[in-house]
Amino acid sequence: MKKWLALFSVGVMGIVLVYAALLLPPMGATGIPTTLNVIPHYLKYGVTEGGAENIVSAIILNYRGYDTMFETTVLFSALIAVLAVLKREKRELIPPPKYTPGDEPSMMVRTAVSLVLPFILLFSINTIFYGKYSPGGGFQGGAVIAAGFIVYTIVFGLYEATRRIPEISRVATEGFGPVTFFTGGLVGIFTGLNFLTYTVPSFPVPFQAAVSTMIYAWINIGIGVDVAGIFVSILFAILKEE
Amino acid sequence: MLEPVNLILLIMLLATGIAASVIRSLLGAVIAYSIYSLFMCLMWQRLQAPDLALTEAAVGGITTVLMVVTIFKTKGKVK
Repeated sequence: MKKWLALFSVGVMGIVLVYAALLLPPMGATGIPTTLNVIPHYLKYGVTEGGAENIVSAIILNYRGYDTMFETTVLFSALIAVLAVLKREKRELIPPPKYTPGDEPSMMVRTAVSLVLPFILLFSINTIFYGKYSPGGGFQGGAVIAAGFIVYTIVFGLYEATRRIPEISRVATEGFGPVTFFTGGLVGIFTGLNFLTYTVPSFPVPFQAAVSTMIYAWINIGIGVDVAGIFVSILFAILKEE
Repeated sequence: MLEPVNLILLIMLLATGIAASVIRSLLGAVIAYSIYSLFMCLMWQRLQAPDLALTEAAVGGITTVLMVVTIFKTKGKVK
């Protein structure tokens, strides 16, 4: 009986969802509000209003800036939830790795990771700083940093990783995203514009571009460092021995 | 209308998505899910959303690692 009830409710939900999906306009349709108003506005004014040559960056950091700003706080609350359950790792409780002869981690893997890791981090910095001009940005770059550190942690062990990335260096970064958003957004308020404005028309033109680039870089660095610190902290909390 | 590359990607998305939910072994399901995330990354690129493709590639890898670590920490017990 319970099974049939579950199947029935799932089936009804599925039919409703498929029906709703069929009502969506097809991909690339013309004559719908999105293609009539939203996309032309972004394409026409995105660079001047948003201040970023990459329209996607202008949309997520300017037009939908609040959304991105509170996404960073969502990530932070996810970290708080994980740490409330699992506790942060304690450096002095982690035993140094003991390898028996013939059972050491492969030297090839360790050498390859040591060689590739600088390039991963370089790519992530490039992604963060060029988020204003090319695909990428703070979140993508931060995730790439976290992926690099996670590969390092898996190959070299938690003992070595907590020595290289100690807790004190991560605590400061974990709440850095909202901080940079609020401080970067204040530029708009102090110049008499809206919160989270990147282009200030009252400034002289060359200075204006520099200011917008600096705010974008500041906020992208904030998001990137935030994401990297949070992912690495979650991994360490899961990896630590009980 | 549907390009062959897109068709292959969509079929593989369906196959890996179903595999991730059908496979009994937890590790196998996580591996199927990570392959799904890689195909989704290629699909975002085909849909001309390189920002999302970058995110999917990085976050897909990180979540796979987190899930594999969790499985080994819990000894892969189903119940």
